[in-house]
Amino acid sequence: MAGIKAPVSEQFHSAGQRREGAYLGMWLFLSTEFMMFGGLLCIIWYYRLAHEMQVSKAVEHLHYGLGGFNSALLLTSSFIMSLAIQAARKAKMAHLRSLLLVSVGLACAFLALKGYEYHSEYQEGLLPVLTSQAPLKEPAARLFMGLYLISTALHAMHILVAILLGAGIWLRLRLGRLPMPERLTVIETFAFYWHAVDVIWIFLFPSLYLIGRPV
Amino acid sequence: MISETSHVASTEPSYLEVEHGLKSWLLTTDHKRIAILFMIAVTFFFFVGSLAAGAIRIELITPQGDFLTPDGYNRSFTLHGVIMVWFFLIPSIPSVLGNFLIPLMIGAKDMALPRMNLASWYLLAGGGLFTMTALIAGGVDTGWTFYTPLSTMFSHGHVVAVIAGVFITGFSSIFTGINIIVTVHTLRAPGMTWFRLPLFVWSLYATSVILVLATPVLAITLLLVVAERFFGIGVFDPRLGGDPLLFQHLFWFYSHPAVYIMLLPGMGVISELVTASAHKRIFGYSFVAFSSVAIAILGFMVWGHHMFVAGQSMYASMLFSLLSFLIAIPSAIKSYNWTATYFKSRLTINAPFLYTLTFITLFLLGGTSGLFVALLAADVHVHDTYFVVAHFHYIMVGAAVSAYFGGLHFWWPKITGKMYPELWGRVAAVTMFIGFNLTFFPQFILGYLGMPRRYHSYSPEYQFLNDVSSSGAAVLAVAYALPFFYLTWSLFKGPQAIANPWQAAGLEWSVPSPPPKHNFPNVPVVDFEAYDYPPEATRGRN
Repeated sequence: MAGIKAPVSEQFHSAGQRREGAYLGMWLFLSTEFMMFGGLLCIIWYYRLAHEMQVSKAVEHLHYGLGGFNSALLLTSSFIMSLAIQAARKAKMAHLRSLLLVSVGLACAFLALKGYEYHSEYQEGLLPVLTSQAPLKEPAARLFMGLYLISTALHAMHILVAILLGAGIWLRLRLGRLPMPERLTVIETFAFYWHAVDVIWIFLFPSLYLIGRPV
Repeated sequence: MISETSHVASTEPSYLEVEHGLKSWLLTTDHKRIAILFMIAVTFFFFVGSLAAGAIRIELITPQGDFLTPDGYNRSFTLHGVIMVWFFLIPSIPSVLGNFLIPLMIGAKDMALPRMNLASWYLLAGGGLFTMTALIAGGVDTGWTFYTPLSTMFSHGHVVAVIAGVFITGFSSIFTGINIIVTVHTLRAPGMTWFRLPLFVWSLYATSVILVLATPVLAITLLLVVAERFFGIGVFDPRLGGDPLLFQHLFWFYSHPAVYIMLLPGMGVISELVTASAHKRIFGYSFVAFSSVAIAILGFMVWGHHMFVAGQSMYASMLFSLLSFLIAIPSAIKSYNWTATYFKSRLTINAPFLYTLTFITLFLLGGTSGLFVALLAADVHVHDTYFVVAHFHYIMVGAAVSAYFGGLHFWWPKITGKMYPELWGRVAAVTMFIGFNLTFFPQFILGYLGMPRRYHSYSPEYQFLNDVSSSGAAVLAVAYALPFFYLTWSLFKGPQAIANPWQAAGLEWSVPSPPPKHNFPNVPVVDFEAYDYPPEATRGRN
C-alpha cells in the first residue's frame, strides 16, 4: 500500500509529487476494496430480492443492537482518526500518538464485540459451518446467514489489518521515525484506508441487520 | 523527433551493468530490471502452457481418445487455460513491455511505486508456482472458468489450491494496474501532456483501469467458490438456496473485461510499431487514444454474451448482444487508422512490421468472427463448439501474442542493447502467421460443422481438419521456439545496438541502448507532439 512504508523516492522530483502519487495509489487500492465488497453486496441484494420472506426470517435472528453499537464504535474511531490527522498537521506528536491509540483501541473493541456476537450466534445455532442452523428452516435463510458470515468476517479481517497498520505507525511515531508534518502522507493514506473500512461497514450494516426486519 | 545521432554519448553505466549478482536482481526496484524478471517468468509460463496445448493437439490427431485419459484431457486443457490466461497473457505486455517502457516513454526515472512493482513480480511468481504445484500434484478438471456446480460439487481435482494461486496472482495484476495509473498521472515529464503520450501509454492506462476494477470481483467470486467447497455455504448451489448462474455472471464480469486486459496492450504495441515502420504520425491520434478508453468502458457491459444459452432472460441477452456489437466500433477505428497510417508511406519491412501485419490480419478475422458469436441466433448454433475456440484464439493468441512478439523484437535493442538477427526474425514472423492459421482456421470450420469443445474424442468425419490443425500446431511451436533461440543467441553474439536503430520517434529512443539506471541524465522537456516524424513523412530506411 502506497505511502505506508518509507518511500523510495528517487523517481519523484518533489514532496508534492510524491504525495500525489501516494494518495492516488491509495485511492486506487481502495477502489479495489469497493469493487470486492460491492460484488458481495450485489450478491446479498440479489438474494434479498429473490427470497424476500425467507431472508427476513434470518434477519430477525441477528443482534442488531450489538451491530448498531459496533457501528457507533467504528464511526467514533473514524472521527478520532480525523482528529489525529489534525494533530499530525500541527505536529502535536504526543496528542497524535494518544489519538491513534484510542482509535485503534475502538477498533479492537469492535472486534471483541464481533467475536462475542459470533459466539452467541454459534450458541443459538445460527451460523453455518459449525452448527446445524436448526432455527432456520428455509435454504435461502440459511444461505443468508452464510453470506452474513462471509461478509462480516471479510470486513473483520480488514479491521484487523487496519489495527496492525495503526499499531505499526504508533510504534514508528514512538521511536521518532515519523517526523510530522514531513511524513504526513503516511498517516493520511492510512486514514483513507481506515475510513474506507468504516464506509464499507456502513453499507454492510443495514444490508445485513436492518432491512427486512419485522417491526 | 527523430534522433539523427547514431550514438548518444554516455559515461553512465547501463542498468544491466550498474550492479551485479543475483541479489541485485531479486531485490531491485528498477523498473527495467523488474521487466526482465517478468519476462523470464512469463516465458517459463508460456512454455508450460504450450506443453499442455501440445498434449491437447496430439490427443486430437485421432478421433479416439488414445493419448490421454478423458480426465487427463480435461486436466490438460484446464492447465493450458489457467496458465496461459493468468500467468502469460495478462502479465505479458503490461508487466514486461509496459514496465520497461512507460517510464521511458513519459520521461520518468522509474515507476511511481517501485517496491510495489517488485512485489507484483513476487506475487506472480509465487501464485504461479503455487498453481503449478497444484497442477502437477494432479491438476484440476474444471476448465479455466471454474464453472459451478462442476467446480464446487463434482470436481475431484485440486480446485481450492489452483484458485488460491489465481487469487494471489490477482494481487499482482492489481499492483501493476495501480502502478501504471499512478505513474502516468504523476510522473509525466514537463510538457508531456496527455495528448502527447504515445498510444502505447494510453492503451496500457485503459488496461490498468480494467485490471484495478475487474480483478477484485474475480477475487470475491473465487472466495465464494472456496467457501462453498470448504464450508458448504451454497451461494451457487440451488439445493442450499443458491444460484449457479450467478457464478457465471460474476465470473464473466471479470473475465470478459479480462479479454481486453489481454488485447488492449497489444493494440498499444501495434500503434507504436505501425508508426515506426511507416515513419509517419499515426492517422487519427485522438480517435485511437479514445477508442482504447471506449473498449475499456464497453468491455464491462458485455459479459452476458457468454451466457446466451445459459438460461438468462431473453431481454438481457438482446441488450448484451447489442452492446457486444458496439465493441466493434472502437476496434474498427483502430484497424482502419493503422491501415490509413500506412497509406502513402515508405515502409520499412522488418520483423516488427511482419508481426504488425500478422496482428492486424488475425485481429480482423478474430474480431469479425466475434460478431458471429455476438449475434444471438448464430451463437446458439456455434456456442461451445470449436468456432468459439477459434474465435478467441485469433484474438488472444493470433493478435495478442503476435503483438507481444512484435514488441519484443522492436524494443529488443533498447532492452538488451543487442540487435537480433533480422533474417531469423522475419522467418519466425512468417512461420507464426502460417502456423497460426493452419492451426486455428480449420477450427472455425470444425465448430461450424458442430464439433463441440472440451471432448477428448470426436466423430471420425472431423479427423482431417483436426489433423490439419494439429500439424499447424507443430509449425506454430517452431515459430514460438525460434525467437527463444535467436534472441538468446543475440544476447551473447548479437551486434551492439545504437540508441535509435529504427529511426523511430519517442523519448525511449533518445536514451542509450540499454538505458542507464535512471533513464534520463536530465529531466527531458517535451516540446514536440507524439510521433513527431518530419512532415514529408515518407522517408524509409537509410
